[in-house]
Order: sequence, then C-alpha cells, then structure tokens
Amino acid sequence: MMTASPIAAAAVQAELAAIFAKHLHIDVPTPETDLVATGQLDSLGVVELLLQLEKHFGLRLDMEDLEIDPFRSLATLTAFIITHRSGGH
Amino acid sequence: MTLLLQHWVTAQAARRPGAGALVFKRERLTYEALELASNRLAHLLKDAGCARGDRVCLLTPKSPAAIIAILGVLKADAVYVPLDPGSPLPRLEKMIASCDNRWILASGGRAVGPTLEGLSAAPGFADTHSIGWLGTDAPPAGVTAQFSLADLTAYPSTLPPSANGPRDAAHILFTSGSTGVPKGVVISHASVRAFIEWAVSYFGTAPTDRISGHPPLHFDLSTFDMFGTFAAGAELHLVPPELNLLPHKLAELIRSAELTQWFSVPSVLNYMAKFDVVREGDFPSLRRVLWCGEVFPTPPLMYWMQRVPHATFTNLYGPTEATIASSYYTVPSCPASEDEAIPIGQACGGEQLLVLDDALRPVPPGEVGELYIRGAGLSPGYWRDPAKTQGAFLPYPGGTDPDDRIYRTGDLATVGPDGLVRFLGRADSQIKTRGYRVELGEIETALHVLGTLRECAVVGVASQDFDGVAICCAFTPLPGADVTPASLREALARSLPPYMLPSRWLVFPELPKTTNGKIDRRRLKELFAPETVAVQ
Repeated sequence: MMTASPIAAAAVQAELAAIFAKHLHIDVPTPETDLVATGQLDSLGVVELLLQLEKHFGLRLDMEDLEIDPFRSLATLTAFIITHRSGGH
Repeated sequence: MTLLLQHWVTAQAARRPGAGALVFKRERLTYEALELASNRLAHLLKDAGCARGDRVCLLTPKSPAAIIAILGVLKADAVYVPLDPGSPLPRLEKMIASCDNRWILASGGRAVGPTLEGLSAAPGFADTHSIGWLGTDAPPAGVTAQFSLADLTAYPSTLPPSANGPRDAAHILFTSGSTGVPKGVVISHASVRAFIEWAVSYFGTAPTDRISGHPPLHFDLSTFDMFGTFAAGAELHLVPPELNLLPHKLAELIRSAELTQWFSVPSVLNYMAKFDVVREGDFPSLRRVLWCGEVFPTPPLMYWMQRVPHATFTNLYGPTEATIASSYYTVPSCPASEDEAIPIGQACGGEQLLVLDDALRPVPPGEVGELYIRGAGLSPGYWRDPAKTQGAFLPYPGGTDPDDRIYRTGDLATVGPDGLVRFLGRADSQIKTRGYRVELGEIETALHVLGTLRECAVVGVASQDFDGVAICCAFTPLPGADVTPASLREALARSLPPYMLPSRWLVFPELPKTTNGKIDRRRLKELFAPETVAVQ
C-alpha cells in the first residue's frame, strides 16, 4: 500500500475539486459527499472525469479495470489517484 | 381470474411458492415470501386507516422492500406514488402536497435520510403525514416512523379482500411539466394489465425467464419489468443503479445473472457500445433486448445485433399517459447501413396509433402529422388537473362513446408505405435525455426563480455522446451578480433532479435575438452544437 504525504493528497484533492467545478459543473460540498448515492455523478460525468484524470494526472485507465467505489467521493478518488500515479507513471 | 396487478403474485405464490420472484444484489425473494410480506403490509396499512383510493407515496430506492411496498399498497386498495429519492426536497414537497396523502413509505439510509428529515422538519408535516420505515436499518435521526419493518410480523399473512376493480387507479407517476410543476399521470389496473397481457404473449415470457429491472421505480417502464415478470412467474433481477456508472459492470451483471431479457433506455445500451464492453457472442442466455424512451441510434444497435445475434431486438414506444408502451417494432435483421432509421412500428394489442393533422384528420401516408394514441392504455388523466387533462386527452373524432378518447403525444410522425409509423421529433420544447422526459420550460422556470439572471434560455442539442439530447443553458447574469455554470448548477440542483441539470453552458453579454425580438433558439442550438463548448 502506497502512502502519500498529506500535502500531496491535499493538492490532488484540491485539483479534483477544481476539475469537478470547471469540467463537470459540480461544486462538491465536502470531500466525503457520496457522489454516487446523491446521483451527482452520472455516466456522462464519469466519462468526462476519466478524460480529465488523464489530462491532469497522466492516468491512462482501462475502463474494464475500474470499480465503482473509487468514484464515490473526492476522498476516495484522491486515494485512487495517488495509488495509481505512484503505481506506474 | 386475475383482475388486479397484485393478483399475479398471489397466483404464482399459490402455484409455485418456492420459485424465485426477485433478486437484488445478495437478496433473493420467493413468490411466497413476496406474497406474505405484502399481505402483512396491506393489513397494517388498512389497520392504520389507509382507505381505498388513498395515495401512498414511496420514497425508497429500488429494492425488494420497494416491491413489497408497491404490492402491499395495491392490496390495501390504495394507489402507490413512486417518487424519485434523488429529487430535491422542494420538488418532492410539491408532488407530495398535490397527492393530498397521509402515508409515506420509505427506506434507504444515505440516499433518502436527508430528504425525509427535511420533509419531517416542515411545519405541520407530522400532523398530516405518517411515515412507515421499510429499511432494515434504523430510521434517520429526526424522523418519527409510525411503524417499521419489524412490526409487520404482528399482522396476518393472508390476502386481504379487495374492493377495487380494474378501472381503479394503481399508481400515479409524475412527469416534468412545462410551467415548472410536475404533472401526476393516473394509471389504472386495467391499462397496465392490457399492456402486460399483450407483452407476455408477444414476447413469450416464461417462468424460466430472468428479467432485468433497470429503470428506477418512478419511471413507468419499471411497471413492465415488475408485472411482466410476475404475470409469467419469471424472476426479476433489479439492477443496482450505481452499475450505470461503469458499462462493463452492467455487462458483468447480464453475464453472471444469465439474464434472458434486458430492457432499458437506449442511452445505457449506447454507453455499453461506446466502451465496447459486449464481446462477440456475449450473453448466451440473453433472448431479448428491448428499449423505450427515446431513439436508439442505428450504429450502436448494429453493434449490439452483431455481437448478440442470438437475441431479438425490439423498439418500444409510448408516453407515460398511454401506459408503458403503445407501439413496437422488432428489428428483423441487423440494419445494413448506419443511416437506416428504426420505425416505432405498429400498435401493441388493444392500442391504435393515429397520425393526424391540425383538424384531427388522418394525414396521407408519407406526410408528417402529430401522433395520437387511442386504446386500452390511456390514462384517465392528470391527477386533479382537469384543464391539463382536457388539453391532452380529446374525444375520438367522430366517436360517440365518451370513454373513446385519444391522447395527443406532441410527437411528430409519419406512416410509411409499409404501414409502420416513424417518429420524426417533437412539436414542442419537450426533450428526451437518457430516456427521461424533460420540459425545457421547467428548467427555465427554475432558472428564473434564482433571481441572478437577466436572461436565460435552455435548448436541447443532439449529442454525439450517448445521452441522446444534451441540455444546454445560455445565460446573461444580472449586473453585479457573481454566477458561474457550477454555481448555477448547484443552485438548480436544489429544485431539479440531477437528470434535468444542463450539461453545457454559455454566458452571453446578451442572448441572440430574432428580428421580432424573441430569443433566437435556433442560433443558440448552432452555438451549442460543437462538442467543445465549455465555459471558462
């Protein structure tokens, strides 16, 4: 399990929040807000998000490998990005 | 013998009590379990004063508890009103107020909790409403439940006698209204029964079928999944809504549950095609793929038909007001070309499609007219709204029976030389996005209410993506108002459900106008058409 410094995690989370506001037009209330249960994130949002994750974090993700849980909140997405960035890029 | 929708379950429970009726994630319910639990709930509701014809609102995500609730309400001779738990509080309050109801049946912690708490906090709510909690967890803090799931065991498991007849209302479904207030469409037992009996016979639904339950319960297509399954004694597999985020998860479910029938809005099939999650010869158990709610573009249809050649593919068409679907077209073979349009076909049993001109005369074949529906599926009308009912439901031209009515769909259509009806678009500003019917006027009304915009217009633009039509908003802020697309979206989300929120935005110093000073919507559509539109 990779761990990132709190500063790196905070920076990733802030950038994610900015991506949600600018590209998905969603102001996420808190890092823990469940984007799936509240219906804020839909399939179009996921597609846009994957595009932006590649652009901003260099993550090239294969749809077939993805699970739903990382998409639940900014917090889970942050952890997912940190793991995958340190994993191969 | 089956007269009312719930009696299909009763009949199956008597014939094959141990057969599977319902599957959701790791939960599995037999027909007997479904029958007994819904009987108990009906007794409880009647005991608590729920009278024949009372409206019972459901605020519960898709789950076995929700299906038990639906059957229990029907067995109490009441009318179920499935509400979208994802809808914002003010919109739900409007719908609940218009139902003039006492009972709300609810479950689903995180998704429903804040909504129930908000409802309960409103002044006077507790005096006029009672909540039944159907969750296996505790009800949310701040919510007083009159009963919970555990209380059901105290009630008899026998089927209570029913005073309802086929013409009584089974449910009320709310759809988007152009003036900002959702309309409640009343649907009778007889209308649902007529469609289900036709469909089970046409599709040859059998007890061995494993049928998808994809649409949410406030969407009228879900009544086909439910009652089509129960009428045939088949097994309903409720699709967890979060799977919609990832197309390969939907494919995995079809594979692992060995579904024999898949029915969804086209955007879901399109999403799966776009990410190429269907393999050659995939889903060997799948016999039928059905869609309804909007146009399924031909290229993804060809993708599906090539990969799943062992299934039949059927386009269903029909507005909520005419119950589930009014016409069908089974695609005879994979279309040869990507620009081949798929007809909406011919009327289902007991229905008639009429393409009429402004004077309600049939248009000659090949000419464009407005599509009207006549027959067994027609709703008695909008809940407590005679004006809207009269506007949309008209006497059959030349008919003498006052019950002989036609419903104006607002869709433009033409009848081909083959006798098949083809859908050509809308006569007004209603759009379909991911199968949801949306009045653009309702979004504009909600934007105006915010009080931060000088001008705004909402248009629908055909999308290259899989959502069918993208909702686009052009706006001019009031001087000094600090608005961004994200802030507008957030503000709108307090009054509109997520599927009604615009996905594309453009800010203007002034909206483009036509020569007679109206907002130039055609120009706006052109400006929104490029996929690259994004607001900085």
